[in-house]
Amino acid sequence: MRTVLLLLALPVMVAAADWPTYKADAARSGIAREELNLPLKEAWVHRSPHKPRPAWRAPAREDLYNGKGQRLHNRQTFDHAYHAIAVGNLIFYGSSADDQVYCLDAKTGRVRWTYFTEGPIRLAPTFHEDKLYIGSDDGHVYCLGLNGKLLWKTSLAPKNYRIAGNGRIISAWPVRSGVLVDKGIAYAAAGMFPSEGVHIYALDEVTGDIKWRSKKQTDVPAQGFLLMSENNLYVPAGRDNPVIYERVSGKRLRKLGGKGGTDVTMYGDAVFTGPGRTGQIGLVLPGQTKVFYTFFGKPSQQRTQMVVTPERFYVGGAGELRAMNHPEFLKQEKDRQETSGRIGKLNEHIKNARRGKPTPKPLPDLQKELDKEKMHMEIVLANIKKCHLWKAPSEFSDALILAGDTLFVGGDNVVRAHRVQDGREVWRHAVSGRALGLSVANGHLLASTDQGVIHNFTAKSVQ
Amino acid sequence: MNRIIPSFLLMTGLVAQAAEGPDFHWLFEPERVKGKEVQALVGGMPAKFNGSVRIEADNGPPHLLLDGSGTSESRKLLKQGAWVANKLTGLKLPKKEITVSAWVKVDKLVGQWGGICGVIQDNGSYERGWLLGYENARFNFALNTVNNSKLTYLADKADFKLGYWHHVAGVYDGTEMRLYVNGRLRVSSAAQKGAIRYPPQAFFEIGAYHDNDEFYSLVGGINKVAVWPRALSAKEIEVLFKAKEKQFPMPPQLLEITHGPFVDWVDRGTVRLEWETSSPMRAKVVFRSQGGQRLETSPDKPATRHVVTLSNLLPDAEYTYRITSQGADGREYESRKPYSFDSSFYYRLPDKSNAPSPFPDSNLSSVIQAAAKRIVAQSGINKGYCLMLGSAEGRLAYELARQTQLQMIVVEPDAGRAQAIRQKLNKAGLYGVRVSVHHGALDELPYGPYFANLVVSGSMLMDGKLPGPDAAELWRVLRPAGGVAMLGQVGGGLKPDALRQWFGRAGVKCVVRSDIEGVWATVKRGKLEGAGDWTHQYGSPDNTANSRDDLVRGEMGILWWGEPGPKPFPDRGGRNPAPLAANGRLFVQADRMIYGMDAYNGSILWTLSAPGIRRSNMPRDGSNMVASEDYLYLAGGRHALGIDAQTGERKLRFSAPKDRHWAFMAVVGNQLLGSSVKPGSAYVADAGEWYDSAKAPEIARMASDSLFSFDRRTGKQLWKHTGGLVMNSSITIADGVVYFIESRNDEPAKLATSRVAPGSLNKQHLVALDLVTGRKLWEKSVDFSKCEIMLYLLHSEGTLVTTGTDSKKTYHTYAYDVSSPSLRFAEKPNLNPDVPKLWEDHHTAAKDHHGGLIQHPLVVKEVFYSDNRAFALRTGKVVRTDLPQRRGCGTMAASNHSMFYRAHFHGMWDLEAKTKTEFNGIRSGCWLGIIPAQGLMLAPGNGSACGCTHAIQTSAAWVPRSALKKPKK
Repeated sequence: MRTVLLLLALPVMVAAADWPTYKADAARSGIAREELNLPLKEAWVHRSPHKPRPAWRAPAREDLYNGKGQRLHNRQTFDHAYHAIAVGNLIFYGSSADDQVYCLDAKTGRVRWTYFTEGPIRLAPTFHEDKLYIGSDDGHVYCLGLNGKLLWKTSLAPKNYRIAGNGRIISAWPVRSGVLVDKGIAYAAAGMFPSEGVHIYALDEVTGDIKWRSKKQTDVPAQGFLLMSENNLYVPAGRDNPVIYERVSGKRLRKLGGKGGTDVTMYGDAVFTGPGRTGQIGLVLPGQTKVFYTFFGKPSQQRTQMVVTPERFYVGGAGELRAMNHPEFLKQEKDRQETSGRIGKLNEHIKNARRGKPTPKPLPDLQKELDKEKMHMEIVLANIKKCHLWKAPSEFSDALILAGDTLFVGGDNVVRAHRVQDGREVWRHAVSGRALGLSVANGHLLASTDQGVIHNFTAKSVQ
Repeated sequence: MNRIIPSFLLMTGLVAQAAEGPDFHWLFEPERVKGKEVQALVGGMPAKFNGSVRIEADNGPPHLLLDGSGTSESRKLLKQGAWVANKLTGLKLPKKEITVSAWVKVDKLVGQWGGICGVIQDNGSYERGWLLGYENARFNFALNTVNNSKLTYLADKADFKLGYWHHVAGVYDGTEMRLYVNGRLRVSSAAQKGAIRYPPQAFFEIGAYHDNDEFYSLVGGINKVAVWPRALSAKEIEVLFKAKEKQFPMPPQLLEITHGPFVDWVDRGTVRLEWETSSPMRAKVVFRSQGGQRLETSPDKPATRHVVTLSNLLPDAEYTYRITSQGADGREYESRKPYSFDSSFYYRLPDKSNAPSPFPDSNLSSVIQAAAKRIVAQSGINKGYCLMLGSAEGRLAYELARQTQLQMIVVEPDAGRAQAIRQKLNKAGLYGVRVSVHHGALDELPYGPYFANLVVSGSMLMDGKLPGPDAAELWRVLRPAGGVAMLGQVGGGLKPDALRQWFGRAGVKCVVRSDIEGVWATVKRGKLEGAGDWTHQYGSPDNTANSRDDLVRGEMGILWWGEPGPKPFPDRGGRNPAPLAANGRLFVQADRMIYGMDAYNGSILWTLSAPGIRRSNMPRDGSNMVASEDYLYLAGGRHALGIDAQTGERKLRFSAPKDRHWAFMAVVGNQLLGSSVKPGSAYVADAGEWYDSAKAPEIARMASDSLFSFDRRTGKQLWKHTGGLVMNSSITIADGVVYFIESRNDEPAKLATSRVAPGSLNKQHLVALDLVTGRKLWEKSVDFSKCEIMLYLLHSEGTLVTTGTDSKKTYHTYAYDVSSPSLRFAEKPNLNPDVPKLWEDHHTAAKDHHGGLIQHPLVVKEVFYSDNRAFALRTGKVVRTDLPQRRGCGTMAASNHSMFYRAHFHGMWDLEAKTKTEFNGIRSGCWLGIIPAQGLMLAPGNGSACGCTHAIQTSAAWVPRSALKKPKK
């Protein structure tokens, strides 16, 4: 009661530069709507009473079948830190250890209120129009007012069946998708074991009433932060690849290809999924299923992280931070793949011609064409090289976001800032643990670590 | 002195014998140098050298110094090294047998390969000759014979120490290659047979790996090289080593750990390490984390049993550790290689014994404390899940969390009270991590069946009000095989009869005690009727791969999932030991980690980290663990341990004969059976071996030289059988008889290993021993030589069936009738018994990859299932052809009504309903990873290191959906 009164006395200031959901928006772009003046200063440190208790702690050590020494990457790290969202002068996160939603004062870091669910909260809450939406391992979606008062809760579990799951007594259909809200609808998913059925839901954002429920998903679970484009909902599937649903109807469209993982970013309907087995990110172009291009495909100690803007790809991983020309790279890579295909076909024809088999053209013509294609390939490869604008050494890439002209990178006991112009490091600060979650809002940089610590760095905001 | 002289003479005699034999022998000392040549001691051919290579007399014993001057390219260009001849014409090289030995010191690794002495060509697919050399930091001995197109590179299992002198010897006796380092046999191989095959042209080189394509120079020193045209015995090699051992500064000697090491958790940051050595030593242990943390400890006094404690371990860190000791001889001893320990494999709940009380201190506090103490003492339960039906203020939940390792689940009908308790227990630091409060009705619990190890009531303790209309819901969620419900009231007016009636309405009998501290009803749940056990690799000692569980059938629903996750497990492909389940517990073998778990809720009761405990390639061996009601028996090194199944305490120890390791295991009644093999023989799959190949060396079979029985509780040895080589994969026990297939070929026994090529395990006999006495009942000469790739034996309903496959991808099956009482109760060993062959079958395998040629058969009721076929057990008539297609690399397991296998994902075939179910998103490893036991489908581990994108990697259990239904009111 005291908390509520305090809140009434301190109205929430909702600014244009909020960070209302995991990685800022429904595309999980990781792009802030403001820039921070560097250097930043640590304003406060919030230490949660308990460290995160992730559902999936670590991957297998080594895939010996594919070669000794290949360390595998954990493809499900969505709950390895308390990812924070920021709204006005409030900061929110959910705890996988004590099942509570925490509301902090952005200025002081003090806990304003908490709200108990009946299971671990593994993914960050989402803020939308004065309401907070949370999914819990208890199988429910909760909608809270900014005063921490329950507005509604809806069970997404087909029945109230609770069992031991990841070391806690939870619903057999935990909500591990987070919640996304748009145009009056709150989207979420529940379900772990496909044999029990997994469902995607559209709920009325005001009442929690179910608008539609997808047909039973029987191939993969729903685990990882949901993503959304204008028409589609993208549902990460734990170690597997995301599944696409139609937002308006809940109709399943297709499952994407790739190497799996719950770190998913979108640009329009282009989907970047990782980290795969070796830490890579696979790009699937809009309307497609197969991976068009793999970023950092070689085995790496680091997982790959990406920020995608209309002009650029920013890629962290494999020991470096890199900027690439987005549209030009896609164009040239497409050309490279097509040219490579043509060269392959010509080589086949030439081989056949030499063996006296029928070919579409005489051998000299084929040879001439091949030479032409090879020359073209050289040009394309040179163009691709030009698409790599800069690269800077970076021994970690646990988190990567963009705020104006600054890239923030999270790593082992440190956060760093790099200039987008040339990748030069311009600021760094120590943190407690691995900084797996970063958010920039309302003049703050928040860094969430695997130790359950949230660091708040402040600066004068530049709009 | 009298004793010393003869042994000295014996030694010098052997030295002389060994020294007389070489065809080539060079000692690199200044006196033997003429220009750029070193004169041979024997054989007359000098060793030439060039470039910066020289004879060094200082810095230790004299030696040929290859100082690594110049770049590796220039060394290659100048062929800077030493050689005997640049062509083989006229050379009298060993043909049938060979021994090549050297004293060598490698100072620096300049590439992957290096050579000490050899005559070799290894150019693409053209592989000829022999070489004593090294790859990276491991010595190797390569050789090719006329019966093999490839060279076999026999590499040591441990790294050598740079900068130290080593005596290295490669031996080939016409059938086996052996590599000795410092007088000890390190590895052997039977991959080559017959005469040594030489290339027409090659270099007889010293100090380099040199063939037409490659030249990799050694950087270091060579004191002596000798080449014999015969295979020296192990004793001769030892004598060669000992004769000069003291002249060389030696690396630390191999520390022989006779038991352990075992790592036990004390608390989150502390471990206790235990091991034994054969002689008293003062030991030191050094732990190093990947991040650079170094922890060291050393006990004060020399001992044979060593127990040390290491504190301040980082959480979630990967450590390596070494044990070193100083022996009574003053020399340094060091464990073979760094052991691994991962501090993320810690599963205890946070200790909250000192959690501050959120409740006002009053008389009530001591009453509740006493009640909690009574519950813990009388139930005997302090781990797993405790369900509390009604909470009152939450005091009992607080006390039980504080006094035990239980995870408390409180169900509270009053929403306001539930919220108040959450806040209080949160304040005490317990909420979520030790206590959860769920708001709900007591007569319709939201929980799945069987999860609660302990059921209590906090509200009833205070108000005497029974939690719900009857005990039906309590009974539904109470864990079978030992779960306890304890409901009581302290003071108040609760009548014992009310308690009896409350339980009785649900058909449950309770024991009620009424005393000064109140009235208490206690119920202990027994095992589920019809539930089966999975106590051995293939279910039971009869190897039928059938738990006889009557409950696991029909549609299955998820019961629990969680740890252990993928990290502790070895790569999926090693054909690893199966999990076991008995008496409500589940035992899981990860990579040198053992887990004791609760089968009904997945709680991890205990773990054991033991670097010496690892088995793989089950089709050619047997598991190193078996379970009983009360113990897990686990073999590692020479010993088998009896581990308390509930606590993980190592209570019993049994020993294989001296100089042997414990191999096979079975537990039947009061007997623990074992077999013995030569040390270092067991497969461990550390290089990612998949054992899917139908060729040597993966199909070499583990064969034991003795079979024995102990009293499983007292450790008294009951009997021992010797007489041949017992194939471990064939040992089968049923109806009081131990059956096995034994080779009477004497030759494999001479090998340094117990891994024997199937072709050498001839002169086969099917043998039957009396289980209790070990007396031979009968034996019958048999020929299962067609079973090349594996050889299994199982027994069911008086029928003994052996199965194996050959390189032509054919399954061969032979069934015998052993039901006659005369076979089981013969007074004298019957050496010509009437063991009628019932039938035999020879069919082409359904597939020849992903385990297709090594499928273990199983029996369900009177049907024998093998590969993709089902036969009538007694007649061999094909009775079913509708077996599901196995897509993965595992083998099948069965209950009385269903079969379990790996398809794309976990697969289940209901034999009666003929329905095939796949549990999408989750898959098992490459052997027997799903067991139907305890009324559940248990699948711990699960395809650990598979790089593929299957969505879920977790341990999990499923229960028949019929058990999920609420009891009828």
